[in-house]
Amino acid sequence: MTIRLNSPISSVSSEAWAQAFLIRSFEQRLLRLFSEGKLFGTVHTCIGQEFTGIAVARHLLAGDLIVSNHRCHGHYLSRTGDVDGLMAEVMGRTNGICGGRGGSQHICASGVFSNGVQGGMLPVSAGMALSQKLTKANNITVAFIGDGTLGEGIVYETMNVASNWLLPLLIVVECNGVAQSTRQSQTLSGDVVKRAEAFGIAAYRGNTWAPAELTDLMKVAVRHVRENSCPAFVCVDTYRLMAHSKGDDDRPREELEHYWAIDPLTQFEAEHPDEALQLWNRSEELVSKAVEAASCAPFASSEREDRSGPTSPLWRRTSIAGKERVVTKIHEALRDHLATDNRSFLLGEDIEGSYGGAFKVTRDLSIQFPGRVRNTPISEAEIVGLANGLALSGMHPVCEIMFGDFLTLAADQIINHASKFRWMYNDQVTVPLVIRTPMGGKRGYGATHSQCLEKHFLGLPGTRVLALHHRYDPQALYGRLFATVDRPTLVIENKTLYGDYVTHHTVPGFWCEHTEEDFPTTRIRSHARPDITIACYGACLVDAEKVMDRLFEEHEVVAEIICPTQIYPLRIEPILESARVSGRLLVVEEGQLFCGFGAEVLAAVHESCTGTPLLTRRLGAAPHPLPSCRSAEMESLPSVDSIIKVVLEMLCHG
Amino acid sequence: MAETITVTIPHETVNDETVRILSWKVASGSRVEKEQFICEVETSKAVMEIHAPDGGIVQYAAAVGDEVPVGSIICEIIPATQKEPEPTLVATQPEPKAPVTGLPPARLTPLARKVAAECGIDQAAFPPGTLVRSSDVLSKAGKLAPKVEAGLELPTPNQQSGTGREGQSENAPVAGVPVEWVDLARRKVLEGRILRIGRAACIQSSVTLICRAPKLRARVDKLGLSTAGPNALIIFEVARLLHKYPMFNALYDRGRMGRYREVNIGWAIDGGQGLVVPVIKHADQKSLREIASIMEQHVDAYVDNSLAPGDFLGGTFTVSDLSGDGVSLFQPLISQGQSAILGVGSDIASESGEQTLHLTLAFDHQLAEGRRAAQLLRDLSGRLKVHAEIERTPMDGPHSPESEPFCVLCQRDGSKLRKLGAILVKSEIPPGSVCSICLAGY
Repeated sequence: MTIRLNSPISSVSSEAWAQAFLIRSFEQRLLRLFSEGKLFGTVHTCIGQEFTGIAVARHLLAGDLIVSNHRCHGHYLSRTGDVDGLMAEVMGRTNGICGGRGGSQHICASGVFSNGVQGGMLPVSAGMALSQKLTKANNITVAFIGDGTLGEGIVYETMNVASNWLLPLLIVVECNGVAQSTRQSQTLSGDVVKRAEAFGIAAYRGNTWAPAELTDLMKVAVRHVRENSCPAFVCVDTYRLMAHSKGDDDRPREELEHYWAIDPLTQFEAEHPDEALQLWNRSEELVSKAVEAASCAPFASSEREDRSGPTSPLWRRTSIAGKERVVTKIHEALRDHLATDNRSFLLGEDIEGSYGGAFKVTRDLSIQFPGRVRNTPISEAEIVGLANGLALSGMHPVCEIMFGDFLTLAADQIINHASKFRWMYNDQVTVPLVIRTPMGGKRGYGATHSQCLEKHFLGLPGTRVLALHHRYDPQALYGRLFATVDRPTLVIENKTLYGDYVTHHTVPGFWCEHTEEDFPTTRIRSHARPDITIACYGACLVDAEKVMDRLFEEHEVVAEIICPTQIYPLRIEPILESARVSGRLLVVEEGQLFCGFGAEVLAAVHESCTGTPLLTRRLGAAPHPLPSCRSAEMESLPSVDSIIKVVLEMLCHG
Repeated sequence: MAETITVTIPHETVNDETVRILSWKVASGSRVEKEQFICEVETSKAVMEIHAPDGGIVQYAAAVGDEVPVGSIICEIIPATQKEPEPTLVATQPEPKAPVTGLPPARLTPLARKVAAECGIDQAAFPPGTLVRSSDVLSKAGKLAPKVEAGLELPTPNQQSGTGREGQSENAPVAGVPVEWVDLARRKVLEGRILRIGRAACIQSSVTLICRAPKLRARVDKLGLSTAGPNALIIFEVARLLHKYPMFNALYDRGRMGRYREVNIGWAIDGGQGLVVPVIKHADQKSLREIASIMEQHVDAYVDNSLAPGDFLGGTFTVSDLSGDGVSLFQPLISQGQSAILGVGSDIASESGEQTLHLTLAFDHQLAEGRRAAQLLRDLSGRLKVHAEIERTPMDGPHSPESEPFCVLCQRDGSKLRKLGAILVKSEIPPGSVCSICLAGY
């Protein structure tokens, strides 16, 4: 359904003209400040496109949200009029809306969110709309993208879900015909509006040269979304009168001159010179004041997290009641979460019904908690993006990524979105997002379904990575995570662990104890002074225990195992403490060694272990993709035999 | 999950294997605050205070006077709120937590069980819940202080009092003379047992050769090896020679020779605190400097009484040097599982005042003959003489680039090697050059 408005020209309110002049004045000032060397970084101005934001914003209610992109100033100013906050932000000052941390393209204030990666905010906006729908608020979310972003697959993944789940999401495409320097004709096939229609989404088309009609069109679209609680799509033809960012423009002069001539503000100036002058002067005054105020404020600064010095760990022995499998414990934790926290929401592929996910972790939960456990399309970026939006809206989403290997498809959502929001938005938001995924091999699933890819997600500031094992109750761990989650948290659940029993009964002669943190480190030790410390996490603990048993029985070697449940950020002290005693540290991991967990551990240990002679080794997967063939796969991964061999080598060398 | 804090003697705080509980400052079952002083323990070096890591109810796991292994639990602190276990917890917990009482018996390795049986130590002698290796058994055997039994008696062979001596006697006293029986240290008993087995399994023979290497001592001093003495050079060279003479790094059993695939040299130390024979593992693969440094560590540990039980295991050949005690000749004894031992004595020539070394190789005649033993000693003597003749001290600093290449293992330079018919080969590990003699092991 395409609606072209040919109704008689209705007048644009004087308020809207004032907004338009203010935005233009603001953007032109930024360009001037850049040319004067007073701004740092980059800026993307919306000169010529002011009316898209204005036409939408006037129909929004309190609680409606706007999600924008790199070219976001107009959208923010249309919604808030906050020239001071935005100017200070672009100028990198602490009184900016994100304390100067975000800058021009990463803003967050008054229900407006923007980020700099093309299309990445679209699933986030769908998640916000989902939250609005779940909480039965009469609110909608508006997402702005440019026509350049139509090349991103996530746009269609989002339209698909928004339509299927009937999300109150208005997608506005600012169609200015060029992506940075590339003409739309080179990259776009078919019809933009028909793309949305193919998903069953109501689609509209307007333009900024008829601002009154555009405003009316937006009224229709917003009402459609709000009243029917379903998505709509508006393609707004427009023209960016200035460069993509600062000076990078190679469009022909005649073309620019044409669009400057038909520009609504130019025409308004010609028709109403006195009023235009008045609006200009008022806008310039506001912008000048904002620049002045921002100039007085201090610049944002880099603050290292206040880290208290290393403390020696306090170990507690913990007993685990009963004897359940890991999969049951995770299931119970998720059930508890759904039963006790009405903001919890589970999403993933095939997780509904008695099928309950590829590894049956969520079996029957969708039946017990209708509407709160949702199957998604096969679209990992969409799953995590939706969860990002839910988390930003105060929900407590838990995503399941069917195989850890597929995290790569969600990498942009994790790395450029989830992990960035809190700090980049100056701690105004938290992202209480949990991503569960099974990693690891030994199941014959081959090169793309057996990897341990977590190392690629270690070291993202503001995030946490946990790895379950069977000597610390996963239900307790998840319980604590769900109760306290305040940051994106990736939980590694090894496939081979699901069937193992959770118990504290370890190798005879040894016992398990744990540090006192929420996500503790497990130590398996004996009364004897250890000859070797084995550090590992996740399912590697299973082999490490077998190694410990055989080392003692066959070689009279006493091992001590240190197995953290939180692998990022990593508390090194428990490993350090043991390694100092044994003088030998072997780190075993199932993933590739280069730049991996073991490399980090050994670096940290050697940095803090100066003066103590310490022999260290790492053991990980062979440096090639994992084969499907059972025996070849087993040979490729650390095994009980290969670990013992390395331990004995270490013992021989001192 | 019921969380109980276990209070242990931290590994890093003490060097000892065990500590003694001196006193408890609070009664078992009483409430303590975090950081409260709860217990005093005695280590070999000091008295150490143990403070409560957290508040709660203390339950002793060890009594005053107990010798507690380092790392083991001395008490538990149960969070005060969990003093009374909840009924539901008990119901759903088939196995109540076991830490303090009801520990499983000590876990012994198969070898430890064997050694315990040989030493006559009951497995129940080890604290429950602990791990016991053969070295732990040995150390327990050596730790028992000799005790003098009250009174004099005239024992008859099968009438000895005390434990562990039931069964046939091994010796009988001279008739009519009163005997005072003194229990030997377990360690001494074990040493005797090892030598007895060695003697029983071997047909011992020996040859002696006098090595005139007058500058050897000076050479050793110049190399900075004086702590380890000429012993380090002897061990370094003999370890390599054992590749040429594998019958001396072997054992005899039922018509077969078992050649050891490793050369681990035990060397006898007796500084007045008892004879010990720590082992230099893979001595044939170690540099002179490494061997000397290991020997220094052994001596330091001997003085500190901190030689680990594992330090004594795995010897395949033994060197016993009594030259420092002014001994010129003695008959060393072959240990269990070995086929030879090198005894080193010395003499000072009265006319020149030059020191000579008296090298005695005791060997198992089932595997070799006197001529073969003599060959080894001749080779060894030759090598020691070469060392003694080396003037410069390559180990004290890197060779200057223009200086002649030398073997990084034996330090012989090109001219020396040419005389011996050997050549130098470029080596990556160790970096530098290695001579064909060291490369081939002889």
